[in-house]
Amino acid sequence: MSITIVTSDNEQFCVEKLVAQRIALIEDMVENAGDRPIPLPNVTASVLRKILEYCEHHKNDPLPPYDDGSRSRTTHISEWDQKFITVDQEMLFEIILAANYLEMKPLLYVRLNVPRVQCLTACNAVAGDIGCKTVANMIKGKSPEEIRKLFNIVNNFTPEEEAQIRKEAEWAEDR
Amino acid sequence: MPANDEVLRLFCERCQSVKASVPQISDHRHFDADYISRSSSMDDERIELLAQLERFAQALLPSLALQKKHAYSSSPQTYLQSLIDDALFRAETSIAHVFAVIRHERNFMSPVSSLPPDILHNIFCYGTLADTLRASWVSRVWRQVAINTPSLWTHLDWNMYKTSEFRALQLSRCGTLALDLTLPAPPGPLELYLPQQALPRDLLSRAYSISNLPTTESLESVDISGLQSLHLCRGSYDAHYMSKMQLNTTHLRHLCLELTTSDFTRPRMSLPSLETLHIHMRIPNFDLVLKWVAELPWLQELYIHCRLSLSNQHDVKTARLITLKRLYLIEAPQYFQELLLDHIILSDYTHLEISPLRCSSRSGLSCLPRQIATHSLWIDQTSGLFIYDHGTSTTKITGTKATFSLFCGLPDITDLDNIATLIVHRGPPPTFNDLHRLINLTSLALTFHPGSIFEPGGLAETLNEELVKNCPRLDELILVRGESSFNDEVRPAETVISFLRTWLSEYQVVFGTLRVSNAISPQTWSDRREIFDSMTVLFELREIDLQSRMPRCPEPRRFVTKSPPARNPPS
Repeated sequence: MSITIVTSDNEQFCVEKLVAQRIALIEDMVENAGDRPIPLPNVTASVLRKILEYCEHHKNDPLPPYDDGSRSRTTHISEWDQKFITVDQEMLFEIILAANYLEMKPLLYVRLNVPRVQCLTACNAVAGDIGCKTVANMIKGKSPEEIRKLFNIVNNFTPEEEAQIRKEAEWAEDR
Repeated sequence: MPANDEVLRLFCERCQSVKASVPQISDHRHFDADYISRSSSMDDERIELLAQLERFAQALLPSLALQKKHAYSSSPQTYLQSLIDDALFRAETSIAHVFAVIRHERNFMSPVSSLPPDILHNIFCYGTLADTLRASWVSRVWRQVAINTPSLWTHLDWNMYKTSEFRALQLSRCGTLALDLTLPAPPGPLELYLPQQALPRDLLSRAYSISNLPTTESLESVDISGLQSLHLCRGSYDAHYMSKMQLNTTHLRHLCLELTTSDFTRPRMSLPSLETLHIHMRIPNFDLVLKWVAELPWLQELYIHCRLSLSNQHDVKTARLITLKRLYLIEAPQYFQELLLDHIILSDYTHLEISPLRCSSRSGLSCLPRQIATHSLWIDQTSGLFIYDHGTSTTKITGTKATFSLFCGLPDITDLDNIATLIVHRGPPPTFNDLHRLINLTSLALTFHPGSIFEPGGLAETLNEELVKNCPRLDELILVRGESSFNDEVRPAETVISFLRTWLSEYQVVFGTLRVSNAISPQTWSDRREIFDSMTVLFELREIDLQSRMPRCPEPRRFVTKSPPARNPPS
C-alpha cells in the first residue's frame, strides 16, 4: 500500500506506507486524509527526496546500540550516511529542519508500534541527527572567526558584548 | 553647514527606527513568509541608510580639514579634551550599536540562520566545553543559545580553565545542574605525592561525576548522595592505599579504580547499585576481585586491566555473573585469562572482549555458554581483530596478525563447526586447509589480490575441490578485490568457474549466490556473465563493503573525558 505526498513545490511522491509511517507527522495525517494526497507545505521536493532516500537505506536498521546516556555523545557518522550528507550548506540545513519538522523515527519503532513519545527519546539515528553531527564536526576546534567565515556570517556583537567576550577569553587563557 | 546638519538629523532618525526594530533573538523566522516579504523592504532601507552614512562621512571630512586653527595652543584646554573624548566615545558606541543591529539582520540572510535554537542546542551538545565557549563568541544568536543552555557548561575540568573568574562564570551558567568534575591527574610514580589543596566541598557535593580523585578521604563529610560516577586514581606508590579506602553510597553506579602502582586489596566499600566497575591493577588479585564482583547484584560492565603476571592463586570459587552485559580483559596475563574464564559463568547476552588473547588452549573458553551459538566470525588481519557474532552478544579478540602472505589462522577457542558465516575483511584469504573444519559454513566472504606475488596459489588455494567437499552447506560466496598492482583477473575468474563446475558435478545442483565487488575492474567478470549465470542461482556484480559488516561491539565506559583547551580566543 502506498501514500501520495505533495511537497511545497507541488511535486507528488508515491511512498510505501511503511516508509511514510516513519514520519510521525505524516502518520497523523494519514488517518484523516483517506485517499487524498497529504500536503507537506514546509518541505520541498529536493529535500523530501533526500529524506526518503535515507528512510529507504535505513529501513532494516537494528535498534540503536547500547547507550545509557552517561557517555559522551559520539560524532561518528557511518560511511553511507557520510556520503548522504555531503551536500551544500543550504541543503544540509534544510534536511535538518525537515527531519525535525517531520519527526522522523527509526522504522523498527513503526513495526513494533512503539508510542511516539518513546520514539522521540530513544531514537538517535535519524537524518536530522546525522545533520547535527555533521554541523558539529564542521565547527569542532574552529575559532569564532573561522566559524563565521564558514557559514558566511559576521560579528554582530555590540561593544558591551565585545568587552564581555574579551574578558571571558582572558579568563579562559591558561595562566 | 546646514547640509551636513540635515543629513545628520536624518541619520539619527533612521538610527532610532533601526534600533526600535531590533529583533528579538529568540524569534525563529524560518517559515515566516510574512517576515521574508517585510524584510526585503527593510533591507533596502538599511542599504540606503548605510549609503547615507557613507556620504555624510565623506562630506564631513573636507569641512573638518578646514579647521586647523587649534594646532597647538599654549593655554591648557584639558576640559575641552575630555569633552571631545566623551563625545567621541558616545558617537562610536552609538554607531557600533547601529552596525551591530544591521549585521544581525544581515546574518539572517545566511542559510545557517534558519536553524532554530533547539537545533543549535542539539548541535552544541556534540562538542566539548571549549567548543561551547567558542560557539558563544561567534554571533549574538549563537551566544544566546550557548550561554542559556546549562547542560553545555557542566563539565568542570581543573586542568583547563584555572582562573577563579572563569570558574565563577562557568558555575553561574550551569545553573543548578549537577557537575562533571575532572580533577588534576595524579603525579607519576617517581614524583612525590603532595596533598592537594583542599577541594571545595560545595563543588564535590554538587558533582554527579568525579574523575582523578586521589583518595576517598576528600569525600569524607561531603554529601555524595548525588554522585553517580567516580574515578579513583592514584599514581604514586602507597602500599596501604587500598585498605584506607572507604566509600559507602547506595547511589553510585559507575566506579573506576586506577591503581597503577598499588596492589589490589579488598576495598571497604558498600556499593549496592554499582553497574560499571573498572579495575586497573598491577598484580591481578584474582580471587579478591571475583569475590567482590559476585557481591554486586546489578553489575553490568566489568573491565579488568592488569600487567604483571604472578601466579599466586589457589582455591578459587566459580562465580555466576549472569547479570553482566559486558566483560573486558585488557592486557591480562595468560594464567589470569584462563583462570577467570574457567571460573565464571556468563549469560548468552554478555559481550566479551579479550585484548590480546593469550590463552591458547580451547579449555580456556570452553565454559562459555556461547559455544552453542556462534553464528558468524569477522576477521581483520591487518589489525589482528576477530569478532564473533553470537546473535545476542559478541566476542571480540585481538590476536595474531597476518604475517606477510599467509592467512593468520582461525583462533582455536571455539567450536569451529558452529560458524555459519566467515568474513575475512583484510589480509590474505584463508586456504581450503584453514576452512576444512567449518563444516556448517553457509557464507564465505573474502578479499583476493589478483596475480599478486604474495599470493602464490591465488584463489585456487581457497576455492577448490576440497572446499566443495568440506563445506556442503555453503551457498553464498562474496569476493572483494583487494589492493594489488596487477590487473590480471582472468585467473581468479577461471578459478571461480572451475569451483562452480566442481560444485555442480558433486551435488548435481547449481551453486547459490555469487557476489563479486565490481569496484575496480568488472570487465573480466561481466565478459563471463553468461557462464556465471548458468552455474549459480544468483550472480551479482556490485560494490561490497566488508568493513560495514563488522559486528557491533559496545565500547567500555569512558571515565576521563579528554577535552582540548579553548584556543583561538577572538582577536
